[in-house]
Amino acid sequence: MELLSLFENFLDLDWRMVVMWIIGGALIYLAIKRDMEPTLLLPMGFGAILVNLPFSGAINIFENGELIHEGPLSTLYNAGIANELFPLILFIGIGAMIDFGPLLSNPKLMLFGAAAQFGIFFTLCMASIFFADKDAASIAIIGAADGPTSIVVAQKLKSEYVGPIMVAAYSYMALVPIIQPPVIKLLTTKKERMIRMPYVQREVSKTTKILFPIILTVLAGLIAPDSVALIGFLMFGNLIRECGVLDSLSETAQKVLANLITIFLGITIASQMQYEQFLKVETLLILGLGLVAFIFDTAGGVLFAKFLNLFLKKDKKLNPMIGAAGISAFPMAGRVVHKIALKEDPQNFLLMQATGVNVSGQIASVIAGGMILNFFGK
Amino acid sequence: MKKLIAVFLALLFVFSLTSVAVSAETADTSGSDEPVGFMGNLKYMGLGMFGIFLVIGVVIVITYLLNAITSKKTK
Repeated sequence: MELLSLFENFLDLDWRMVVMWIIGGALIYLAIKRDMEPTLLLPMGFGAILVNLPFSGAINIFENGELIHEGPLSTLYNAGIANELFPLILFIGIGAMIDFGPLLSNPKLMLFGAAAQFGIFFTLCMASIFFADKDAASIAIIGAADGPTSIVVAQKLKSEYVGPIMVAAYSYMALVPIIQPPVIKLLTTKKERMIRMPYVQREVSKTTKILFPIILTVLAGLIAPDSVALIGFLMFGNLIRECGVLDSLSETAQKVLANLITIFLGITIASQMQYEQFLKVETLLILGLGLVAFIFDTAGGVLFAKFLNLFLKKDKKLNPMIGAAGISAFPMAGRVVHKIALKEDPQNFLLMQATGVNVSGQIASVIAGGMILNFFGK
Repeated sequence: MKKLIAVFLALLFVFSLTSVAVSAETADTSGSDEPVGFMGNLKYMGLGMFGIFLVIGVVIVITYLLNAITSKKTK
């Protein structure tokens, strides 16, 4: 009899838990076999399995509305995600990794970063067909292609769909090499994709690199106060990198801090992947809208570049593909564009320009997040 | 001719977004608990994209100024 009691929990197994195990397994497969954002998809996949076991000790358990067990994943969620702390700290690490040099030497590339946020607002309108404003806005921010921004905005807007939004944001970031190329090829001709853009190395002074994050924080903060934490932490990380006197802190932020927070973030996000919250029609809708956001981000950037080309002389034309690099998935989007350019013309090196645009997308996506909070956060 | 058409289309797009924004201004739908539909939040598309380009435009100008000032100092 005591032996039978070991298997009691099998009776509480729900078929939807098994579905979530399969989803978790799929995320783990994508992480390991396909090397798609393994730092996030693997912890998320494993966490999805952890939280979908009967009476899982990893999450809080309630009985008749009373908390009878406090699980570590729920504790971590309340400590770091519900209050947006983990994604903001991760932004310090991301800021420390970014080199704004190529962008500062050619500032007009930032326009493509702005154009590539079109998908956010287009998806806002699409999502408004199915969801109330705050949820629609939280879903739209998937188009920021930036995990911390998506988490912070969704939490601040108190969206009901934080779990699917986070899964969609991180999954689509990993799928950028699959999503972007067909969109780019649909909107450009082979001749356009072969346009060469010679890169001229212009020196950027250390003073500029130090003042840039400070000024940007003040400017963004004055325009959209809700974005101060997002832009501030990103720029703080960058300042640590560029100041030249905090090399050990910069290295810690880029490696140890970023990796530590990524581990906690990945597995804690999974606490929102319990089958009751995740397996809904709305989740499929959100995944679909997330794809729309990424597609229209890419389209917005490419079409903007094509529009500018109408006014440029023949020898000054832009390769419209660099518009696609304005999506904030750094450094993936830049590499995708560079790879397509090389495929069309093995002598066409667009990496520096694409990286500059990719970095500007990071800035623009945070500003977009601030805009969304400004519109819907009241 | 292509340029003229492109400019016309771009202006038409901006004008239509602005007119939707202006006409929707009296009905503040932000924070609505019910779906407001595609057109209901179209104004935020116009405002949002305009806002991002404005901020980025200011950042570009500031960056050019910074580059000009600091390179002068270097000389």
